[in-house]
Amino acid sequence: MRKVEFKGNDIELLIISYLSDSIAEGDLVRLNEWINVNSENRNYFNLLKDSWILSGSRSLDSFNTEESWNRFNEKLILGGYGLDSGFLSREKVNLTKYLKLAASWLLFFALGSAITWWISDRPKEAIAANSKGIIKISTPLGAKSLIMMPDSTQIWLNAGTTITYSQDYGKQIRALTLCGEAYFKVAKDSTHPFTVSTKDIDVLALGTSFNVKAYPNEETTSATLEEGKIDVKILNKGENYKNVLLKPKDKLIFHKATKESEKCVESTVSVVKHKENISVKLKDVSILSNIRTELYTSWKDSRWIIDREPLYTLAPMLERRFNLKIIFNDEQLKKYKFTGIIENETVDQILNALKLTAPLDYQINKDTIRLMMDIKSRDGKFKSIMTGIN
Amino acid sequence: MKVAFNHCWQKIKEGEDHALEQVYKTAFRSLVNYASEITGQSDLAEEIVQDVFLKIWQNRSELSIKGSFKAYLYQSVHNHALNVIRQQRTGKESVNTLVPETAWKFISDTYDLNDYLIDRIFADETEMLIEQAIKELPERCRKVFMLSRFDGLKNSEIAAQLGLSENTVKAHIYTALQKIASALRG
Repeated sequence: MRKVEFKGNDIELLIISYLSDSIAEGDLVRLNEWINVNSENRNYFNLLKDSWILSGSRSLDSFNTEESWNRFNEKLILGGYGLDSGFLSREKVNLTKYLKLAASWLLFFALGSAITWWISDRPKEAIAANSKGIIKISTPLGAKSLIMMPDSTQIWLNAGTTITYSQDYGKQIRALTLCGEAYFKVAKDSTHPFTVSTKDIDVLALGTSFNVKAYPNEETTSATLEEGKIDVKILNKGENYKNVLLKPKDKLIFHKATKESEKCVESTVSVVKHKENISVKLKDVSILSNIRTELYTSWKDSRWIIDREPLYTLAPMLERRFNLKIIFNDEQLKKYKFTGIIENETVDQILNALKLTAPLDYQINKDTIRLMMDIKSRDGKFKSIMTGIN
Repeated sequence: MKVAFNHCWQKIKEGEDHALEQVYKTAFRSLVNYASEITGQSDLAEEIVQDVFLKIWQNRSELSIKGSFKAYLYQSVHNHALNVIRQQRTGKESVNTLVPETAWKFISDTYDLNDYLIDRIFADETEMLIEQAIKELPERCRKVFMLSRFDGLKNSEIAAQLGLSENTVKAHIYTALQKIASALRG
């Protein structure tokens, strides 16, 4: 092979620069002229260019095709990429074994600011805007919603949840308030900070996907981080607060002093500037690391993954999913733990499954379920299990 | 396993998502490489390819593709990628030197897709032939080429790393491409 030595103006030099690196505009013009002189030149250029293109198949190993397909599926289920997807026709979406949704999708524009999808034969969420330009979205019990914000941030709202945000969302900051539970997939934009305010904690998102659970009638408020980074401020009626920076697979749990009333009230919480903290109250806060995030985020899928969940906390989850009320006739039942996967089962099927591992009996009356201890079972086959409960 | 693209297209038209999955998984890497090549940005490339597949799936009943489905995929990715850089051209930041008007025109004129190239992109032998050709390169030449093509280093960086002049780096890349070209010609 003859040794190649380039002189300053050689065309080959330009071609190689163009393909492998960068080329000055003036040189690009020259190259273009040269290519267009005759077909021989053009063919020569194409030969090198094609070789360059074809040799690229080994690069970009960072792309995992399987993961890419999974990401693509999510986009398909959202029904379109970006805000200019227009009106979708109804169609059955049945693509992955993880997200099975047999439903009709409707695309809806709310005041030009958010896109929501909901299942047409389920109770719908309500969207309202008041004169101050505050937009409020609420999901009723028994329903979940997926909404897309104007900046492409996706938010899954669990049942009985309300979020509010201003019409100025996205102009300088991206702020919203949350009462209930939501899973956020925040679109990357470091120039517009994204914050979620709940009664007890504020979350500043520096990265991508996280879950916040802040129901007023529960004892704890928590934030679970899947990907990226979030900065959680723990609020305490003005004075002291603590900042915690979470990393992926961390979950922060804030133990409230008292529970409040049942439902999410009209949220008028705004982002308030806090004073510097003087002393730090850590006993109200626990941080778990390296958790299985899908345990806390799978509610947004129709498939739930439950791991050693005591009936005490499982019951409200079921209440929301099925829009039913669950009453414990026997307090002891609350401590029994369950592990399993819930997909498309009816509430009867789930209760029957629970019966296999706990001495419970149930009665369904319209939309109320009563759970009672089944004494015979408890003293019989469940005798040994009883003692293992902590 | 050879995937019959045109046959898959028929199935996709009928609403079979398994066919979509098959095409996606087979063609993804090549398409993403190509989109990356045109735009110079690999993170954008995945979005571009996914947008193309999305549109195909959403419009499958109205869409009529004559001829090669494979070529259609490529042409779509090609056009979409060009649109993307054209939009970037009018944006505030220019991302790389391929953004000026002349450059954009150049790319759309010269990135000429033909069936021969497309078939080559998908053929199994292509990858093997190229691997072989690269293996047979003289050591320094191969090193330079791999740093450039697979690690994406600039010529100045390669030059600094290996203690060569930039012209020498380019000469090595040129030699490597010539070898690959002749290997593909068979």
